[in-house]
Amino acid sequence: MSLSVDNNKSLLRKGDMKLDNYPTCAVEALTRLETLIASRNKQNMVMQIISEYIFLERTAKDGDVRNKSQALPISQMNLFQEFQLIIALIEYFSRPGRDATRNAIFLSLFGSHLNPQRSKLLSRLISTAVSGSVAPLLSSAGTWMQQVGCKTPLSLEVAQNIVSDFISYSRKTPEQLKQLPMVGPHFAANFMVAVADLYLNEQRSQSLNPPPDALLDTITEWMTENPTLCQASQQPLVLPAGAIAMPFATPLAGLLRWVVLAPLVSNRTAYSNLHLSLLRALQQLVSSGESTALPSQDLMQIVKSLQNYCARLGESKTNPEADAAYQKCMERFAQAVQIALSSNCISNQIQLLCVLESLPPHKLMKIVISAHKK
Amino acid sequence: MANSEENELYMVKEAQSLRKTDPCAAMAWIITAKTMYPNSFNLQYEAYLLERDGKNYEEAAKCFSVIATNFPNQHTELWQEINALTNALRNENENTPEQEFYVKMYKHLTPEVQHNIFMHTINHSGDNLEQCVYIYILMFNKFPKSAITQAPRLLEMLAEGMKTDPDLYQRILVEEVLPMIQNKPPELSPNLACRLYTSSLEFYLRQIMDESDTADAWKNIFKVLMICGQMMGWEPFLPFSKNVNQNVYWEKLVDILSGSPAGSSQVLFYATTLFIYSLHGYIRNCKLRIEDAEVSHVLVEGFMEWSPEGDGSEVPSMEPPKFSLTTAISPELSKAFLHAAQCWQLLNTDQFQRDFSQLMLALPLAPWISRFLFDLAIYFGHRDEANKLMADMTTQSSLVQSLQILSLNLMQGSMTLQGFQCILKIISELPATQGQLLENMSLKGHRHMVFLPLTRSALVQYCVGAIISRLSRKVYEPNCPDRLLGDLLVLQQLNLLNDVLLTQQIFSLIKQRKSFNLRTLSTYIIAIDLIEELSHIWNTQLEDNFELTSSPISSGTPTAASGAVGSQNRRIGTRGADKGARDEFKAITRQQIARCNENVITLLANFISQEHLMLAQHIFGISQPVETIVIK
Repeated sequence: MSLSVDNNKSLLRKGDMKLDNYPTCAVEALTRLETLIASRNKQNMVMQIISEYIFLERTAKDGDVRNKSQALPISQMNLFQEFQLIIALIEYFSRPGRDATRNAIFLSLFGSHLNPQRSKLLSRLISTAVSGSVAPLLSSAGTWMQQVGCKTPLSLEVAQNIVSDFISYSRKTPEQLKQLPMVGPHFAANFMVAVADLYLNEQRSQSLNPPPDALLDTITEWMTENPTLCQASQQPLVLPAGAIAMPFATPLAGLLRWVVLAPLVSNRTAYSNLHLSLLRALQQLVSSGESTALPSQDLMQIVKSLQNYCARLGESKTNPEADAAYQKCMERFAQAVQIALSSNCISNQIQLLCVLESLPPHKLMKIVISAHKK
Repeated sequence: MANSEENELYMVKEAQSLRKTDPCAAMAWIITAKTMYPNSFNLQYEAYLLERDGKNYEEAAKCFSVIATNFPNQHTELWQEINALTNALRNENENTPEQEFYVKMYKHLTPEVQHNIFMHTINHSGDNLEQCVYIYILMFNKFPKSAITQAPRLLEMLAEGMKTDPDLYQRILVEEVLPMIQNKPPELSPNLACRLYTSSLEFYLRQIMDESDTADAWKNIFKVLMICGQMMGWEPFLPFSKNVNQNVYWEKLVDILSGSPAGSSQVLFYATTLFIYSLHGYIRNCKLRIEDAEVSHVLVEGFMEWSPEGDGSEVPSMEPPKFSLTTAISPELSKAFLHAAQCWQLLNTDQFQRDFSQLMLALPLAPWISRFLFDLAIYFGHRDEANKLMADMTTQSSLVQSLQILSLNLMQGSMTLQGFQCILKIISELPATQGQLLENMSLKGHRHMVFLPLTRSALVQYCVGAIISRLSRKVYEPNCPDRLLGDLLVLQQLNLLNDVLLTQQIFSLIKQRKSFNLRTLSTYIIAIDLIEELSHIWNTQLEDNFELTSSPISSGTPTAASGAVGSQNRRIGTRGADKGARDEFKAITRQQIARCNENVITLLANFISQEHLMLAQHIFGISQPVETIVIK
């Protein structure tokens, strides 16, 4: 560690970078990183500075070169220093500057593999940015989420944390969360992708867990008032030179799973509203000609859950055609499929239609299938 | 494609079943179905109903535009909505919440759709003329440019509507349509333009007859005349101004007349308008407020001063009479009357006569015209015609009628028994308003007209004047009876300065006589000047044995005066003038001087009514069967 500092005497002056001068050294480090980050061959040093001066991490055994690459460093920060760091980061990201630099620094601070302390700090940082409506930080967070993948455990942890902070432990949905699509549309869209994955998902849990009411209401409000929100994630990312943008995901498929499967567990009318806004969003995709808005594996997942449900109905000798919940699911599913097909945002159409045909019948679904099978 | 229709119907029904309970789910059905059946009216209409019920103006407007553009006229449902929309737009200020929705939705429609809605509605109004007219007006309000091309059709419709409901369509024309097109009047057939002007005129004339403040109405009439004139390419007339002298209008009319072909309709309409304007000014000014009462003025023949120096054979002048300046309003009245008369004469020339009389039939002017024609006949001295016309004036009061008959009598230059009866009738019906004595009632040598206000003073003055003008020349005849001279003295008291010659002549006759019977002295002579003159005669004639007789007791009733004259009379003579007689004369003199402040109008009115038998005898010479004079 002292070695690295010696090597960069020209860049780091000792006075400011003293560790006992926290958080000033972290702030100073962030400034220094801006120049270091531009040169590709200094990545190691960047990582080192971040670890030492910003997160105050130490590897398990100093100087153990063999372990160094494997052992995750452990942070020495106390709660107060974490708090100071969050404030420092919020302030740093609120300063005017280039988006590319900010995004690069965010991605360096929080990569795809984080120790528990850093990921916890990340969640807290983002929650704080949401409640403070810190647009530049949320913009970088949106970019980060797309680069690490919206459905990766790290993104899901962030999403879960936001739900906890703003929904579960809050009596009333705070205005800041309601305003999120305006403050950080990109982040909001990616957050929806992640949060959609958390609920009504049989791949995650044995039973279908509906989202908390307040979350459903918030998402519904976002969707009805910002019809183009789903397309926010398609904006080109501002990345450091040489970085490869990861493919974007839209929340449409995940939210469609919510509204189609919701009748099985809930009869809230908010699902009707959300469903309608999804249909409208699908209709608007026509112009963009986006064929991957509803990836077929996501639709298959819905089919699978419906099949499971019908199987359970079979066990209790109930005819799905007489089951109101199933009929409602199919009504919504068929409507969405029809509009998605007419907007040309389903790939693998024939395969999908065949699978849909195998489901217990529903009148509209039959009409849709026969209309498109020709 | 029965299958597809059935599927479409199924989806519409699903949407309908959810419309009230879950509008979002209903809309999900609709937008799904729309992707499959984009040309379905039912779906579009259902979508519209959903947005309407949800009060989503903007979305509803979008749906409505689609329907109105793609399915313009096959569906009754659409017509219901269009009617609701146009009705709401028509009373935008007093709308129910439901109607408010339509007004707001309308604002979200594109101008093209808005315009189309109006045109479609107009084209489908069928027999409903009123609705059609209102939609046109609505359209012109929202799309002023459309008025340029569409106004002729609307105006035709209005003309059509006036055949069945003139009040309604005249009001619409005048209050709603004309203001919209006044800046850019469309070209119309002369026939239609003239008809519209006549209708507007009719409307405003009714308004004028109902209301007191009429300047606005005239301003509007001139404005409409201007618009219609523009439609027909007429030379523009002058705008209306209350303060413009009517001469200016008349000169403009003459100017236009000189440059127009015979019988041209622009002259006809300008002259007719001017005629009615002047006529209205005449009729309106005939009523004036005097002493808090509305007093009418009646056009009557003025008196011609007769003088003994004249050769007796007056050649009646062929010139039209003049108007006397009897009251302050006279100049204005006479101007209005003369302008109306000028227009009337122009319009009754051959070139206009036919069209003009047709116009007059269309306009509600009958009461004004009959009055005007009567006055015109008097003015030109057409007695027979005036007599004929009098029968048409049914609305006249008997007072006015009596006055007019009397006036006709005077015009003739003689007084008939009927004329005298009229005097008595006027005296018996005198109004309460006192008024003032008029000047210039008698003029020398020229026929003249007087606007006589119906006040006590003026009426009594007129009656007195009528009697004097009959009696005065008898003073110059030989052996003029004492009684006539005495009665004339009484009548002269109204205005002693009026005919000083006559008074002097009477006194000189009295002086010439040895005895003079002035039976009216103690009852009717109260003018100080006369009493002084009498007393002067009495005093200076002492040597000549002058005898003055009078009735000492005021005669209360007419019969007393006509009855035993001799027995009650006392003689006060200068011969052997005893002290008693002298004292008595002085007493009478003092007594009469004390009365000098009595109301001379009332005194003379009483005199005429009480002494009417005697007066009749003076006028008609012979002892008329006076008992037959009946006061009607």
